[in-house]
Amino acid sequence: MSADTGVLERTRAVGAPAAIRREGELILKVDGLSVHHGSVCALDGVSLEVRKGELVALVGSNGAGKSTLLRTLSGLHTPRAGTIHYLHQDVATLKPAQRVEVGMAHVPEGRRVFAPLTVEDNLMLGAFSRRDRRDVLLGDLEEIYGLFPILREKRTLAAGTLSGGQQQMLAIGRALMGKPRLLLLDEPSMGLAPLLIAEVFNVVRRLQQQGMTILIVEQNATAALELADFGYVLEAGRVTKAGKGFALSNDEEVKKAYLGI
Amino acid sequence: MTELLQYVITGVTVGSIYGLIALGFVLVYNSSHVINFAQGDLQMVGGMIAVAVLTAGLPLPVAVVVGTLGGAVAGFLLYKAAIEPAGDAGPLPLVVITLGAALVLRGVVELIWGRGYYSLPAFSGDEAIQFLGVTIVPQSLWVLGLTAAVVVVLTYFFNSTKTGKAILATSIDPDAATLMGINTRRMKLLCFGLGGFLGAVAGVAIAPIAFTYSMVGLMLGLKGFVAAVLGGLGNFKGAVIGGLILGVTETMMSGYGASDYKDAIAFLLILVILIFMPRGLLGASGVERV
Repeated sequence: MSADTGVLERTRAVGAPAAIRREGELILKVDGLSVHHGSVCALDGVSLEVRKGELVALVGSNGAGKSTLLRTLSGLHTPRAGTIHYLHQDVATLKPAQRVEVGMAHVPEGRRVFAPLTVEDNLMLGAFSRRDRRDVLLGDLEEIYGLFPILREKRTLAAGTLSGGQQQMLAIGRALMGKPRLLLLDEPSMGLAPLLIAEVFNVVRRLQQQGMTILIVEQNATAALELADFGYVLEAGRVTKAGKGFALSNDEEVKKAYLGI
Repeated sequence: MTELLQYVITGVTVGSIYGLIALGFVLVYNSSHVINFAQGDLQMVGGMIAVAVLTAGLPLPVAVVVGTLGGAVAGFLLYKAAIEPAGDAGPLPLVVITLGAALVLRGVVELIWGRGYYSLPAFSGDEAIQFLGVTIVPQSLWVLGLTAAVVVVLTYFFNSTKTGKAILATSIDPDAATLMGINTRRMKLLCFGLGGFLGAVAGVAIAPIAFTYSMVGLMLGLKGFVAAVLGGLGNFKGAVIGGLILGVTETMMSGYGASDYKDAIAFLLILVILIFMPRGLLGASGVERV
């Protein structure tokens, strides 16, 4: 452990920083999570928390294990060790599809919209796990169209014909159709032009203001940390720093390593 | 001229059967990217079960229904017993598994019913209909009607139902489908069952016209596969059109050329298609991802 400057504390390999108090109901608690891809260790004892209404950013360079973490939360990877508690329930027993039912929505890296299907079909598939009546779903669909007017315009077009930024909106809208209580966003700004990146982060900010609980994973650390209530820095599968979002974005070490400043 | 019309009608009937089998291939391929080479044998199982039920003294409609449902059950079992345990084995091993499953199905049928040739009575009599000087057996109309009905129902299912869309989503991107809360395994199971059902519909519908026997699935399966590839493997409309083209071409060959070469047509067609139109007649175009 190296000496530290400022408000940040170096976290131990396991455990959250002691100095920072966070309010709100605990939505997600990850403890000592380790994931291996074959013999390669992708996550090594990661612990983190997300509280109700928080926007939590997880930043780190390419290959640090950010996507692996989200994919493990959603059940696409099986952890070798550690626990994931969502709303005080251990999700280890839940199949991936069931995790969606209990309110975890995951916007995957690279958007992954269903390209040959229409925009509206994509959105409705987001509501697959809901048992609500059709008119309720159509009401929610209107809400999504209100949030992303461009999607209404293109509702009958194949999702594959949309631009990258529009596809990202669609992917987020699709996840929101599931009425999530926790939104997992994987690299929403990836491969987008700067103007569109700003637009995507505007959307994220709006969702945050509406009280959505969000865990966002980003290579674009500046934007993510400035927005975030709390941030974690992931390095080679370990959480090396944690702190208030703006504090992290001003941390010299983080700046040098991840922000390219 | 009447001769030509006669060949066309016969060809369309046979082609419908190929189309139904091709639809089974497409369904399974779309959901799990497996070419199910037991598809023809599921068709045979349907026909055999229907014959057995009829022989047991039950009325024909019951035999028809039990036969088609038997095909669906065989499809479910195929997935549960052979495909699911293989997990993420990849397309090629799964294809080999279906080849093995085809041999098992043939073996089981031979153990129970032997190698004999069986047939069902026609659904609504054998009295041929004369139309513009052409002879049509009523069973042909059944075959055409059933095929049309299957196409209409499948189109509705995939365009307008939640489960249909979920199957499409599973076929497009299984991981993303999982993130929507779709149980992708259940969708694949459903498609194998539906594939078996479609095969059995074909098997039962054609049993009054052609004999059904333990080995019948081999050639019919290959023809159905050719029809599916002809139509662009993955495309429902294409599968039926591919079947019709194959059926008509074959009948023309036996009518005007030599019936000895009838079966060669299918393989000649598939060579031509693979060389000049590798995506098939109605295959997906490449532009999708931005």
